[in-house]
Amino acid sequence: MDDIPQELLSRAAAGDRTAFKALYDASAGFVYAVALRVIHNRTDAEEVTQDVFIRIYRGLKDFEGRSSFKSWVYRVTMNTAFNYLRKESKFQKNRTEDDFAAVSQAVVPEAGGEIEAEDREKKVQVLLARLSPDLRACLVLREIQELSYREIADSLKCNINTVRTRLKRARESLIRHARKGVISNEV
Amino acid sequence: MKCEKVRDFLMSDFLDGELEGKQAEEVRVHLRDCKACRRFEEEVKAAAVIPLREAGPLNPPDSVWQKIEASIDGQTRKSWNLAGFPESVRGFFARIPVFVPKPVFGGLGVLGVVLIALLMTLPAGTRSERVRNYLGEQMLYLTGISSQQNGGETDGDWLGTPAELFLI
Repeated sequence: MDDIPQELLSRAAAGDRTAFKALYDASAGFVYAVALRVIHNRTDAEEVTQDVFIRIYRGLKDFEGRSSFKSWVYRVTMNTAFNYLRKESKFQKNRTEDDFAAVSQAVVPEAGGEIEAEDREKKVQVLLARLSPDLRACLVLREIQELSYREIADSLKCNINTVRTRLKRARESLIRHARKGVISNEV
Repeated sequence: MKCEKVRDFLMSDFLDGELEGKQAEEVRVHLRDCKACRRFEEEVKAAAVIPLREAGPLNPPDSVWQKIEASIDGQTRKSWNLAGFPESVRGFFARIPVFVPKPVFGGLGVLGVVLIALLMTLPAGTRSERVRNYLGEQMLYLTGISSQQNGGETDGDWLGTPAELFLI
């Protein structure tokens, strides 16, 4: 997500709908992608995305710019996604093939073709489904959204050491699964 | 630097570009010399980095924005209607949040009905006597002013007009 010009933020805070739509266009992709990859359900991710932007709309007037708009969006997104998971008790590690198929339909087709893009997204979903939401969130923010440790810590309201530990645990888990896959193939 | 420490960094700071200076250089030197750790680095990238970095962008469907707009418009209708007022007035009131949840309207309605019912249960005589007394005092005052202005006499029987009859 690119930085948002202050002028656009001020106009959106004053109620300019066009400016708020521009904010939405600049950040909805990030919000939706994170929500979808953490929650693993397209309908729920759409709801979370709506909630996030309604919270942003209400909070824009009071957003004093102590942190960057980007950081604020990250925090609201992670907060909303985790609240949603806690409320709905959707800490599910085992998703069905239909869930993965539905999620991969949200992919934006690229030059390589729609099918390749959907296959890659399915692979991502299978990998992420193996992790708990805490580890999944850290890995998504780092590998897919390319946030720094500091930015991830701000988004998740934890310290940098926690980020570091969660990333390590997430990667260890994926390596273990990858090794099991190799062993099963050999057997 | 020992392999255990290097592999720790290969799954965290070094991999993510968060390791700098002397420590980063020590990891690079170790990797040049240690085949096992080089193999481990490749394994980490294959299992936990490359598949995720290949993930493409995702965009929400148009319906998400439509629902956001509908929700915002629903809130806007409940806000102050200050069209035509100067900007300074609109700006002042815009800072006051007006968000009345729907159940409050129902509650106010019920309260109004209860109050009217209570008033209706008051003895009719008591109610009309109080009203008559109050109106009488006001009419005396007003006719007094009028006679001073006109320099003439007033008709003491002020229960003559349809409005007065209606009120009493």
